[in-house]
Amino acid sequence: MDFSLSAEQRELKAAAVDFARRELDSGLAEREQAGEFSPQAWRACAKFGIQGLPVPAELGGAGADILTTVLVMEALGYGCHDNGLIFSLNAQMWSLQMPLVKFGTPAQQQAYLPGLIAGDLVGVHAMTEPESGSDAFSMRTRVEREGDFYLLNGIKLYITNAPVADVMLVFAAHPGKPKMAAISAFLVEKGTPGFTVSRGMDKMGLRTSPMGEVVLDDCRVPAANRLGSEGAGMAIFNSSMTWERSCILASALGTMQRQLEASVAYARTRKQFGQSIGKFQAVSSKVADMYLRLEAARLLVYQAAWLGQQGKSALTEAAAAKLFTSEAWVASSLDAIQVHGAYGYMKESGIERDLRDAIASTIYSGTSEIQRVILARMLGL
Amino acid sequence: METVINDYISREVVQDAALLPLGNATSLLETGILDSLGLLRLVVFVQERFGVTVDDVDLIPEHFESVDSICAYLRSRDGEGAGRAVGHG
Ligand SMILES: Cc1cc2nc3c(=O)[nH]c(=O)nc-3n(C[C@H](O)[C@H](O)[C@H](O)COP(=O)(O)OP(=O)(O)OC[C@H]3O[C@@H](n4cnc5c(N)ncnc54)[C@H](O)[C@@H]3O)c2cc1C
Repeated sequence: MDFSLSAEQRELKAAAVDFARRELDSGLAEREQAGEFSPQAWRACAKFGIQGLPVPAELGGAGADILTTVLVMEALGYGCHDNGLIFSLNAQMWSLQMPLVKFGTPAQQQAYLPGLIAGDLVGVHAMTEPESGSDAFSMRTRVEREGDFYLLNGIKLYITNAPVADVMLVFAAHPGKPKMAAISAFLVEKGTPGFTVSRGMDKMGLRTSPMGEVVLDDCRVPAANRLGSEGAGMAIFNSSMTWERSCILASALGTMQRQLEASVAYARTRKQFGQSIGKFQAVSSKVADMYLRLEAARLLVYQAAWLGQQGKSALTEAAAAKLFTSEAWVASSLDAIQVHGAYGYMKESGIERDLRDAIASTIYSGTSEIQRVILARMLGL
Repeated sequence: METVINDYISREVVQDAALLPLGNATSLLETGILDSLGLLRLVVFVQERFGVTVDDVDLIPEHFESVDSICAYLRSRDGEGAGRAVGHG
């Protein structure tokens, strides 16, 4: 594995940092407080080419390789302080766009990918339910065929982007089939009869990323909107989860880099007891740990992305990358706050926001405990 | 190929010894032998053992219903390296 960057990758990274600083952070403190999504920032990202990055050129995307996509997302996390916006982008890219790329018919790809890439549409997938989270395949949402339609009934919870979503990949189970073969996935558009976003949900962090509950009440979906074959739901979900776990925390690498640089700068300039606080080993050790975690996380994320790029199975490596990076991000945010003292705890520092945003990463895309379950199973336990 | 895959599933995937010995036609899905992670482990094994790449889109129930259907799927991939045992055992 050679992770040295090409001149083109370096330029793209620099351009993404520059773009993020210029266009994505305005009014963040207020938007974060109010829990507001920014459609302007969403469109600006599309114009820059973020949403289309991993989509093949023949389907209207940039056709960037996964490592390049990861590098750009890392740059976005470095330049942009709005982790909620980046999370919403990630949710769409990995849980909806990539399944469309891999499993979609040409008609489905044509119907949704251009709008998603252009920033005209917002999407996500809907898997989690009130009674099924980690045990996702025990879902209660049911699907039944009715002529040229499917009828969906159930409730989906904690769905990112739901309040602003135009299209959602909804997973549902066929009654009476074995669990592994029971799940199918459907592209459900806003406005479909029987589909409602019943309420928005207020969160601790990632507050600029909207979230909601979805109710499916005899929701009539055309059979042409089934993604993949009947029963392919588990394959679709597993495929998108591997992509998501590999790539969703690339931006956290950038955020941790930013936290590290801010902590070094603060520890050099802040003086107590007549010297820079960085001269106290209790402080400098925190900074050293921040560096260590960041570099280890970076290698794990790049490795998972590289394997995915080679078309190799990256389940274990993706789980390791997701687990380590999410926990490193929480630890890095705590260290950064501690190094900055009271200032780090203040909203104006922005560091406390990073901590609130980071905590979610140990829950979404499979909790830390579930990543450890995956690692143990893959190791033969 | 049937023996290699049956041995692997019997040794590494089956949790309930009452389900052994495993028939090649026994449904891995109806019996609950194969869960999501069990399937993904099996895929890693098959890829290494038979030198094939199993694409995500192929991880559908029809291909993993039983030892027989796994082998039928792998044979359908012949020419791409499937069926050529690599490694040992
Ligand atoms: C910010 C955010 C965004 C999200 N976005 C989406 C989305 O867009 N679409 C979507 O479908 N879902 C989404 N989710 C839901 C997310 O996928 C679930 O929260 C997650 O899978 C965990 O499920 P749960 O919250 O029901 O927890 P539970 O599964 O109830 O788990 C509760 C606790 O028990 C532990 N636990 C459970 N099973 C085991 C086990 N076998 N071994 C050890 N420990 C275990 C868990 O690790 C956790 O600590 C989002 C969640 C968050 C926080």
